[in-house]
Amino acid sequence: MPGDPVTNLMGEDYIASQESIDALKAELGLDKPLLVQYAIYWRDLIRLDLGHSYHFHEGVTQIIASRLVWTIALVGFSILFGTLFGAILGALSGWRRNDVQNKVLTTFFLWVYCTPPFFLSLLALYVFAFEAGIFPMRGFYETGAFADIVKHYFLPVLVLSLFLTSRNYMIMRGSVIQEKGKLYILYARAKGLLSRSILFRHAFKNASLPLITLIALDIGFIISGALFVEIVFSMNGMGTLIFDALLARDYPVLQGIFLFITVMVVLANFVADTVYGIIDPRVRQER
Amino acid sequence: MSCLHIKHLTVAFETLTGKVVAVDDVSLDHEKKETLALVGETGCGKSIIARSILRLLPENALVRGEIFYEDRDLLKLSEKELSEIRGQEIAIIFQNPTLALNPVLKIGDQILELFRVHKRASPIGSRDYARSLLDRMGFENPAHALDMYPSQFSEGMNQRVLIALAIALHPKIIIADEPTKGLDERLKVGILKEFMKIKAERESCLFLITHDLEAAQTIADRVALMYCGQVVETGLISEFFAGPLHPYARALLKSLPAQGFVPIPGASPSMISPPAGCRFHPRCEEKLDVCRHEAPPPIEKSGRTVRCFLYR
Amino acid sequence: MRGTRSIPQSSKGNKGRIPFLGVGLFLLFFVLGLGADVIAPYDPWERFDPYLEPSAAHWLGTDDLGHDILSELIHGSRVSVLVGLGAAVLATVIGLCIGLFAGYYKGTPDEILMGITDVFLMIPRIPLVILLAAFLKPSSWIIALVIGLLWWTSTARVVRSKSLQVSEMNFVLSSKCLGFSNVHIIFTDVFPNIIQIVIPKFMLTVAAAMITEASLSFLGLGDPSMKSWGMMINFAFTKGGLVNALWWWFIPPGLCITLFVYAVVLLGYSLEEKEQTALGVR
Repeated sequence: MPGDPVTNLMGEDYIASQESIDALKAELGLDKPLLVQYAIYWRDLIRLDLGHSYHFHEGVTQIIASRLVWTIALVGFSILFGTLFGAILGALSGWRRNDVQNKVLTTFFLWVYCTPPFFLSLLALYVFAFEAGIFPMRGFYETGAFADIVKHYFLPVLVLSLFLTSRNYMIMRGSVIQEKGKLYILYARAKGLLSRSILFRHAFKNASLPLITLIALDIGFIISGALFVEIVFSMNGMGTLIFDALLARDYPVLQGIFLFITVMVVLANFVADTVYGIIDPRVRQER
Repeated sequence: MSCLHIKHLTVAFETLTGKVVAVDDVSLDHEKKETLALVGETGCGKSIIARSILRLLPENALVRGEIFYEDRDLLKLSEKELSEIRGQEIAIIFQNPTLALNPVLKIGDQILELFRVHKRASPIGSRDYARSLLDRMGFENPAHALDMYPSQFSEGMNQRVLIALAIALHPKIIIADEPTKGLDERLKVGILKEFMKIKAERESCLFLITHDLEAAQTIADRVALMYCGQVVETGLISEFFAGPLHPYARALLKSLPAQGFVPIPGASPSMISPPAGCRFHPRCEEKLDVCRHEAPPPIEKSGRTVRCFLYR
Repeated sequence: MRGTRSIPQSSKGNKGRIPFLGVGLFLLFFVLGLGADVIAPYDPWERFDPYLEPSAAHWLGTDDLGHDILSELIHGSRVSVLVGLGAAVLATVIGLCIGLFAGYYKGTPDEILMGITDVFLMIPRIPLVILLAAFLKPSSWIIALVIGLLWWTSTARVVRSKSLQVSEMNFVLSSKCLGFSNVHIIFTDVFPNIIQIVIPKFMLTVAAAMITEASLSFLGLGDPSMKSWGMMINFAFTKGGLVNALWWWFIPPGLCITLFVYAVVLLGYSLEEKEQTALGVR
């Protein structure tokens, strides 16, 4: 990674004496050979000590931990709503005939899907917070009161949920359309089931398989959405952390975050694989 | 009174390449307690007829005519009324058994679903009954089989599951759409034996759709032969095989391995633009002049019907 | 035909319908991007009075440095087109090559290539792109390169599955028997059959690339030497456009991004539908 951390910390313009640079380097452990530094990194990692942030003057682990809760709150609820609404609406849309209602809904979600998440957030912020004054401008709570937190979280969760819903809607809709044409659906009808029962007892389960795979695979999609929502709404979560760390060239924090994200991705894939295996017996047989 | 009365059924599809009339003015009577075989080449429209009975056609199908079941026109019933008949009074067995079953649901659940949909309580609507059905179908460990998935069974076993589902609620009519297609000889014999058993119990009328003449000969009482969307001959099975009337029927029997394996000249006609006049005339060795421009109507001849000017 | 009732209507189907809206919008932005120098009323770098509201002279007013916003907007097309198409071309070429070879050779090469694809699939792309853009020199080409190097995975998978299919077909086998080299077969026999599914994927990659570029520019990581819609919104956000209700600073560029992406996605989806109809899937 380019840029010497010490110079960054001190600011490019600061011309320090060699002694102070050396002293700082010693404090930060940068004077030991590279290999030793690497070994220390792994030792600390096991102790869940991700190092010390140059910029924030705190332990990286502590920083990430403190911000994490807020991001999880945002992402957690949004994934919940996004998956629920997206899957159900998408399934209904794919199942029913392509009437006006269907077309309008699909076009709406297509529009949302095409809107960059930062712009969606900006629009929401502008319209609801600034113009209408219903919601506060900054995403972080002022008092610790629950109602206050809800007020501050409402718009960000709404925007991120909308963003995730649109994608899940598209995928589920396509998936159900594909399942619709299969023989077992026709056979269910031949047994005497009515349309809605067939959708929710048969088609839905089968159609949700691609959705599960895609949700896990595209954790990056969810992260990116959350990132921009947090930045625009000035929330105190991982998103703004990444942004600030980036500007300050704070390597420990950035490395820590990237490691964390990678772990999350692996976990998500693992969970998705397990869920997929529970639903689809054919996969279980192959193992 | 007949089981089923099909009157002037016409089914057409609007496709990208044109309008396809898959079934053209077909009339059939299926008498009670008899096994009727609807025979014809692949693509002649017989599966479409099978599906029209229970209104299982795709949305772009144009259907005209009447299908009477116990003096109700099935084509006029609402979806709800029809859903009560499906599976319970008229059951259908599809061609591709493994595809007809939901791969992510257990066999037992799919059987119990039938009971639940038609609100049958014990003793019929129970796991025990489902187990006994599978037992009757020759499953070695029926209780265990209930918890297994379609992908764990062979085509033949899944076909038996479909048959089990078809007889479960003692329907009045069982439609079997190409039940032996794609099965090897041994399995074929097994399935046909099943149908003989069902026939022997005399509970349901069997409507067999097949291209396999020999299978038809084994189980059917009467036969209806289709060609290019039309029924060209009907009659008792014994009379049909002893002395077929329609030139196509004659050529078909000659083409059987046992009878000489003589192929029928010419190619199957296109369903989008079928030949003018009698549809078989381009390939007919006994054609008359009139056959080229006039389509023969069904003609009665001592209990049989045949669409051929030779019998006018 | 005697009979009493005909049931469901025939659906003429809306297959084969050209998405005029998509094509129209796409062409509009494309032309704007190409001919920006001629079409825009002013040079976007020229400074006028700052903070001007929309007026007859400046339809969308001016920003905090006095640049004419409409001109900036028109020039913004250029960056979107360049990065969008550039990144998508790179990604598609990579995806095509990997998919074609994996599907044709099968066996170990397939496993290796798919293993690589899986690794790339697991990487969270947007965070990585942000990181890379932050540490490399900010230029549109670098951005396009980085996006192209990361967005090929979905194309690779689709191409591979089709390539597997096509490679089993008889004309490929006969080419092999005739002694043509593998590379030759891949590009003359297999490739032409794959184009149809690649094009819709290409369009969707363009859409993803455009959103990514806009997002990067919004974060301030874009190319400062070119006017980009994302950068315009970045300035609006950081220079107080929001709190001062200067909607003409950020809503037009945001709308443009959305519309352009929408056009591309429409084209992509309709091409995908056409291909599926031709296959008889729909």
